[in-house]
Order: sequence, then structure tokens, then C-alpha cells
Amino acid sequence: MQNSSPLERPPEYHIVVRPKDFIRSLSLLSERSVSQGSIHGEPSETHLPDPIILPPKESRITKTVVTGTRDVLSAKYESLDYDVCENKVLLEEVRTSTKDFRARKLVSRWFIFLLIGIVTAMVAVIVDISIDKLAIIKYGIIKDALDKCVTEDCLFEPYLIWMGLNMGFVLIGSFMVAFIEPVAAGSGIPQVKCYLNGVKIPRLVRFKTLFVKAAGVVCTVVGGLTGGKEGPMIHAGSVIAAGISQGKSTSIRTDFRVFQYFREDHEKRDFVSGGAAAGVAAAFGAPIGGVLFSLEEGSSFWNQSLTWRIFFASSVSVFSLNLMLSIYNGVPGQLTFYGLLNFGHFDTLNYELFELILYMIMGAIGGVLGSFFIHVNYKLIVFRMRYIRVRWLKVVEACLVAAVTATVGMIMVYLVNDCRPLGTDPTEHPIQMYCGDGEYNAVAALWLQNPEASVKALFHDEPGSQSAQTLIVFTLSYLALSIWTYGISVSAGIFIPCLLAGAGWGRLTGKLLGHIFPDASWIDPGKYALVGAAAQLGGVVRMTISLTIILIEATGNINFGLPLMITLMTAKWVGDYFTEAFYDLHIQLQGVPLLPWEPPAMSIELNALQVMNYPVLAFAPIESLRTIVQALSSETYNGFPIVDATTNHPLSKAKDGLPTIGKLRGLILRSQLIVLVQHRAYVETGYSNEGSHLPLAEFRNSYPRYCEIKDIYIPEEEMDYTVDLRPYMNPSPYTVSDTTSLPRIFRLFRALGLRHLVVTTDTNEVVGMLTRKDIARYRDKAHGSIGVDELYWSDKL
Amino acid sequence: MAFWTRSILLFVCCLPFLSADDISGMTVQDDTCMDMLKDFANLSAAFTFCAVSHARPILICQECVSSYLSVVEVYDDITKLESTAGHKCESELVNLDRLQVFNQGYNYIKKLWENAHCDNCFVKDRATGKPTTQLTDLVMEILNASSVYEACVKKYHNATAKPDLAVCENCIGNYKTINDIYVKNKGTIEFCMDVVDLMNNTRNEWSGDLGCCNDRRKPEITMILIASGVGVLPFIFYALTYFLTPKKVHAVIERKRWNGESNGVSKSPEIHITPPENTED
Repeated sequence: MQNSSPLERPPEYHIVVRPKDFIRSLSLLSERSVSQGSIHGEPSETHLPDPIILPPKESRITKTVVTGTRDVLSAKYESLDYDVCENKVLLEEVRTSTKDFRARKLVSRWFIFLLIGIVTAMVAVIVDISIDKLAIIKYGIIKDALDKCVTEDCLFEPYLIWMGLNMGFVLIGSFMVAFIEPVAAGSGIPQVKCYLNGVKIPRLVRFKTLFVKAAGVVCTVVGGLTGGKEGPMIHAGSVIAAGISQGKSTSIRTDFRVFQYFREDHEKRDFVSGGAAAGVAAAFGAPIGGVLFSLEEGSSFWNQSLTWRIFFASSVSVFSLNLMLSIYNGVPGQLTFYGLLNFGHFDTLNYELFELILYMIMGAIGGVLGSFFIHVNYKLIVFRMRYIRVRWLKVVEACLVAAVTATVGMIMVYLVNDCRPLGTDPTEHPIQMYCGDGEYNAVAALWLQNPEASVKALFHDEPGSQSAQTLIVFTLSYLALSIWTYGISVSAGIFIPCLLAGAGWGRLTGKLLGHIFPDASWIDPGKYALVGAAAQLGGVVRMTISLTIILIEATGNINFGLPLMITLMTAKWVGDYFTEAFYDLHIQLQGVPLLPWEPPAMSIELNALQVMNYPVLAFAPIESLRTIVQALSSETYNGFPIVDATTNHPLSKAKDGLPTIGKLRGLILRSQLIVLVQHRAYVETGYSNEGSHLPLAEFRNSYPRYCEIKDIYIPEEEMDYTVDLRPYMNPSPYTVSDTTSLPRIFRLFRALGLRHLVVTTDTNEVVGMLTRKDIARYRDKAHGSIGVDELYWSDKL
Repeated sequence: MAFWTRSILLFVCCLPFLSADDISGMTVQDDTCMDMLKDFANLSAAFTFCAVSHARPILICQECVSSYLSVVEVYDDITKLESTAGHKCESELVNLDRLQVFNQGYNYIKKLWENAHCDNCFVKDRATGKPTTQLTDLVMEILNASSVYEACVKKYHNATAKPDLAVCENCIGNYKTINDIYVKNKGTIEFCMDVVDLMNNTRNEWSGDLGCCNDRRKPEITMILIASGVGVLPFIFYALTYFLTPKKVHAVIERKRWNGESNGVSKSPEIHITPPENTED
């Protein structure tokens, strides 16, 4: 090899930026920026310097930001290593692998997708049955107490029982979420979306999270909160996929010693996309919807062969769920239980052409209501992030929500006397309240059952099942409660509350139309409830094709696809005019550096030079252990370029005023360095490019949680040893030239799922490094103005 | 749609009855089978007549059970008996044309009977499992209780008063008896339509026409007090957290960037980037 050992060179010519020089270079840079006045240059259009927007030197003073803002990205999130590191040890492994091994890998990949489908369905069934059983007991107790007390002036007794049961379950659920696994809060869809798009969310796919999520969602739904179990199923599917494909769990400290060859970010992420799809499929009985969900939400990089495997997992999931539920319901083999939530069978879903205009109007209403939902919820979440940070306060808040939910239900049952004849008893627990004998209270029927059953009731009940007054009061209170509920420390999804509120006002619309056109045969309140539900949901989550297909599959009627699509499209357009989509807003609030579908419109004027990290901390191909340890301890970088000697001084203006640090040889990751140090793979102990190498299996065994450098004990006498990085580095990392525009870099990152991108000059000398964080910080200006916003970074958020 | 189907069926099954004279004019191939078909026509017509005439109040099960049983009997004969060895009547009557009058007529009767759950009101024959004309004890009990109640209402009823306090006071015991029997058994068995309708009418009369059921609402002061207390709690909670929790701020990390002027090839137009001015939102 070339004269690459740093020890042989004269000391005044540093080829590699060592930590000491690195700090020196920083100070030089800040001096330079002082002389320059502004980091950002001046506005090109107006040529008017703006002293407020362009603070001259305060940028060096440490700024602070308040918690709960969308303009700050959190530094704790890291990218996945989706790009496979093609180093020498990998090549050696590939060369020695047999045909059998490749076949086994292929078969086990399909086998894992099969298992993902089955286990996801199993978890869904367990959650469903637990909710079912507990809910029957709960509503039975409340009904008995209500029936007993209604004529004896002691309604406070059933009220207190109702409230107590709600609070008890929610207490358990929120306690688990707040104290055991906070990442299990909410629906989990935003986090899964981030993961699928290449951002690692800590603890997202751990077994412990799955447990808290599943138990938590049972508590939420049985506790009567306005939340569904559908969103959490998607998260649960993702965890199951990650768990099965890795063949080990850190939470229960077990390594099954299977599927070791899948222990890398690339494979894991692909399996997780299948798990998310299986979760959607189990939740809605929508296998195609599941695939499209993974494609739409997680497909900034995607492999076509994955589509087919994911569809397999989804179909298996729907089938297994169906089979298990049929056994539970005592009719084994009668496969009519599609999904946890299905909209039931609509006899007729015909529509006249002119109704499409009505659907568009309803879509627009859904967009407006959805934006209202998002905006108020956003304000609440910001408040919570700022003022409700202590864990026990979160638990108290959740219990308060549970208490108020029970109160609202009870007061409505008490005040609204909407009596319906019992007939064939559409509800399981008909409550008479102040109705005559042989009648039941329609409000109590809506409150005292699981929200899924209420959605179905609004879709399918006879046209006269609820009075307009009931529907108005119910919809408004449910909407308000669900806005308040999302974001408290429980695991609950957003689908059901949106569907239920939407079905409420949709049915009301149907009733109103029936009032205006009494003879029209096309008016069916159930149909309008479905359109309203779709509009409301579309206005909040703003998903496009996947949501349409999910709804079509849950409805089981392909003919109604066009009306649903038109409704959802209008809802999305109208909603997008007012606010950001619900999940994206939550992602922004959490400060996740997620790359959107398109680069910011005006970012074409930015280039790699302005965006990149500088100066770069690099290593020589054979590096001393002391340098490595110092670098790892002092910096948080995860990728280090490996550069060769040049005759340039690192801080000299090597090319057009651009200091470079040497010719690019490769790229090595922090995790690889940690494993190397951990296993003492030094040149002095016999590990070198020509000698023996640390096998790839050792790297896989440490995956996915590597230890910190400070946790590794290194004797002082070993500090002067050297490590040969060449067998482990990626010899051909992706690079861009220093003039590349931001949109090009953006697309490279998105399409390839990159983590690091080296910026080089035309002589292939390293000048800077780009990571996802450097790109995600540019965002289109909010409403009305043209330009690019640059976000802050903060370490603790 | 359902209405039309029913009307057509009604029409179809009444057809043999309305035009009974014409049947003799048909070319008779096998007398036994055709005789049985004629029997079936007459019996089904009789059942339909009985059913429709007892539609309001519903007494189909009690009044038409004998004619239903005879329809079933002759139908079974037709489908099972052989007029000559190896030659079933069924093969001459069923599956010969697309109208299927014989089957349609029978299905209509069967469906009506089943929809009304009439079998549940009658004691089942141990040997065959078919219903007999004997009402079950439970139904008898309800019917007896009902007639006691009816008698009571008749005795005290004053058409001008509402609520009819005399009836309410004197008959509440009888009303409760019948209501309790019904409520107690409703979960375990599916009552036949006669009983369900009887109960619906009784209850409507009691709560509606007589107005005896309107004093259920109570003031419930305790509940309203608790509820308002719970309603206020969140506001107190949020106010307290707002005033007591210290504001938390995070340090902004400065990214290390290249700030130097880059001449020549690397030069790019300067653009205006503003840091987000308002992080307070």
C-alpha cells in the first residue's frame, strides 16, 4: 500500500484531521465568519440587508428554543444503515457462501413473512378478544346499575361505577405507557412512517413496546376513551416483524440463534414494512390496503420484489385473523370475520351521478373539520410538551380525560331522551332510562358499546334509529373528546374516533337530505354516514391511495370506490390548504428529520458546499487506536471518511479556497469502529488488510445496539496500537461533487436510503460530509411566502 | 323490492285457490299426484287466508297452526310418497318449469312461519321434533296474565283521563306480572311473534295511551353535582400545570459548516435563508 501510516510522516504535515486540529480548524472558521458578517449571505432579490433576520454574530452565541415547536429538529434521531456496506469482509463471506445458503436465505425470507402474518393476526385476535370480554363485563355492570337506579334517584351510583371503571383501566394503560415505554403512546403510525423512511426511532420495535402497546390499547378501549385499536395494530405488526426477522429479543434477553444473516438495517427495515402492512391488513381486513400503506408511507426507497412478499404477509394475516375469529365465535372455518374493523355488509351502495357533487361538498366539510381537529390538537400537544412533562402528571391527565369521557356520556344519557322501540334489539345492552317499557335510549346505545360497534350502527341502523338531536350532540361531543384525547399518554389510534365523528355528521347529512327530498330513493343515511366517515378521516390523516383502498376493502364494495376516492381527494385538498397532515405535524413536533416527498421548491439554489458539514473528521487507512478513541469520544458523528495522504496542509486553501483533507479511500461507520475496538482487532494482534480479518458475524452479533466507546475498557498500553480499517470500510461510498444542488442530494438520499454522503472535489478529495440531518433542516416556507426555512437543531427534545 | 317479492309470492300461492275450477280441465296423467297437488293448493290457500286475516294484531301462530301443520303434512307426502314404484310425485311437480309454482308456494308459507318464530310457542312432538298445536306453559302463562290485565284495564278505564290514574293504580300489579315474565325469559328464548306483538301492544298502551310510565325521571342532584365537579377538574389541572411547571428550553446545536467564500466553479448564487423567527408559536 502507499505511505499511509501516519506514524512515518513528518509531524508538520498532517494528512488527517485529528481531534486537536479539528478544534483548531473550528476556531479558525469562526474567526472567518466574524470577518464575513453573515453566514447566509444577503437577500439576492431586494439587496436590502435585514438586520433582524440576519443577525451578524449572535449565531455563535448558544441559542435556545422552547419545547414544543415545529422548527427544531432533534439530534437524537439517526438514520438507518440501509445502504449495505460492501467491504472486504462482506465480499469474503459472499464468495464462500454456498448455493444452499442462498436458497436457505430465500426460503427463510418467505417463511418469516408467513410468520409475520400469522403472529400479527394472533396479537390482533388476543387484543380483540380481551376488549370484547372485558367490555361485555363492563357494560353489563353499568347497565345493571343504571336499570336499578333510574327510578330511585340514585343515578350517581351507576355514574360513579362508570367513571371508576373508565379511570381504573386508563390508569393501568397510561401508567404502563408513561413509566414503562413512552414510545408506545398514540397510534405509532408517525413513528412507523419515520422508521420505514429510514430514520431510526429508539426503542420503537422492541418486544417491550409491543407488550405495552397491546395491553395499553386494551385498557384504552375498555376504559371508554375515544381511541381505536387499529393504528396500534400497525405498530404492533412492525414490532412483530422486527422481532421475528432478527431471531432475538433484547427485552426478554433471548437469542434464538436463527436468521442471523438478516441482522442488518436493510433486511430489518424491509421486514418491518411487511409487518406494518400485515398490521393494516389485520386491522381493516384490507390486504391490498396494507401493501399500499407500506408503499405510500414508507416507500422513499423500495424494492419491487418486496411488494409481492408484503402482499403475502398481508393476505396471510387477514386469513389467519379470519380463521381465529371464526373459531372464537364458534363457527370454525366460516371465514366472514374480515379484520378487526369492518364496515359490515351494505346491501346496496348505488349512487346517482349528481350525488358526486354532494360527496365533494362533504369531502370539503371533512377537510375543514379535519383541519380544525388537527389545529386544536396541535395546540394541545404543544401545551402538553411544555407543561406536562412529569410522568405522573401524564397519568393524572389521562385519568381526567377518562373521567370526563364517562361524565359526558352519562350527562347525555340523562338529558337526551331519544327513545326507540326495542324491536330486534340492535344493541347488546339496551338501556331504558326514561323511555317507556319496550323502548331503549338511543344515546345510551351509542355510548355503552365499543366504538367499532357504534360506527357499524351508524352505517347500518334503520333510517330512524337516532333522532337528529342525538346525532348532533353525539358527534360534537365525540369530536371534542377525540381532539382532547389524542396525545395523552395512552396507546390509542385516530382512525376510529375520526370514523365515528364523521359517520355522525354524515348520517345527519343523510337525514337532512331525506327531509328536503322526502321521495328520493337515493338517500340512505347509512351511505352518507360512510361518506362522512371517509371525509373526516381523509381530512385528518390525508393519506391518499392507501386510505381509499382500505376503505373500499373495509366496505367490501368496489363500486363505491369512485365516490370514496372523490370524497377523500377533496378532503385532502381542502385540508392541505389549511394545515399540515396530522401525522406529519406530529413528526415535526417530535423533531424527526424525515425527508418529505419532494425537496423544498426553492432549495435548488443551495449546493453541497453550503449545506455540508465542515470540517470533516477523517481517519487514515491505518489509524492509531488513540486517535479513534479520541474521535469517538469527542464527536457524535457516525460516519468517518477514510482518506489518503496528500501533500496539502489540511487547512490550506487547496482548491478555490476550499480546504480539503485528502483523497477519499472509503467510509467507516462508528458501529464498525466500536466492534473493532471491542474485539481488539489491532494490527499488533494480527488483524490487518493482508492478515486475518474480524468476520462479519461479529458485527452482526452486536447489532442492533452497540455499546458506547466510554463503556469499553482499553488499557493505556494498547492506546498506541494501530487498527487497519481497510477490510471493514466501504471502499466505494456514494459521493457528490461540491457543486451538486440540494434537490439532487435530497433525491439521492431518499431513493437510496442513504445515511452519509461524502462531498468531494473534482480530484476526489474530501471537503465535507452530508447526513440526513443536513438536508431535512431545509423546509419550504409556511403559507404564502416563497423561500426556504432553515430549522434549528437541538440535542434533547 | 321486498314488498314486491312478497306480493308476487302471495299472488302465486293464491293462484290455485282463485282458479281452482280450472285445475280439473288439465290433462291428468297421474291421479294420485294431481289429487295431492290439489289438496296442497287448497290447504295453502287456507293458510294464507288465515295468516292475512290475523295480521293485526298478530295471532298467526295461535290461529293458523293447524292449517300450517296440514300444509306441511301434504307437502311431505308429495315429496316422499311414490305413486308407483320408483316414481315419485315430486318428479312430476318440481323442477319442470322456471316458474316453480309448487315450491314457491311452499317456501312462502315456510318462510312466513319461520320469520314469526312460531315453532317456539308450541310444545314439540317428542318423536318427530315437529311442533304440535299445544301452546307451551310459558306462553299460556303470559296469555293468562295478559287477559287478567286486560280485564283490569277494561274495568277501570276512563277514556278521557290521561294519565289514567285509576288504571295505573289498580292494574300496575297485573302489568308488572306480565312484564316481569317477559323480561325474565327474553334473554333465554326467542318468543314467537304473537307474544312479542302482545307485549309491544301492552307496553305501548301502558306507557303511551294510559300514560302510566311517565314518572321515571328523578332530580338526581347528587349526580349533577359530581358531574359538574368532574367537568371543572381539567381546567384546574391545566391551569395548575401552566403556572407551576417551569419553562424548559433546549440549547441549539450549531452545525459546523463551511462559511468561506468559494470562488470559481463552486460559486453558487446566494440565497436568502432566514432562521425561523418565531419558535414560540
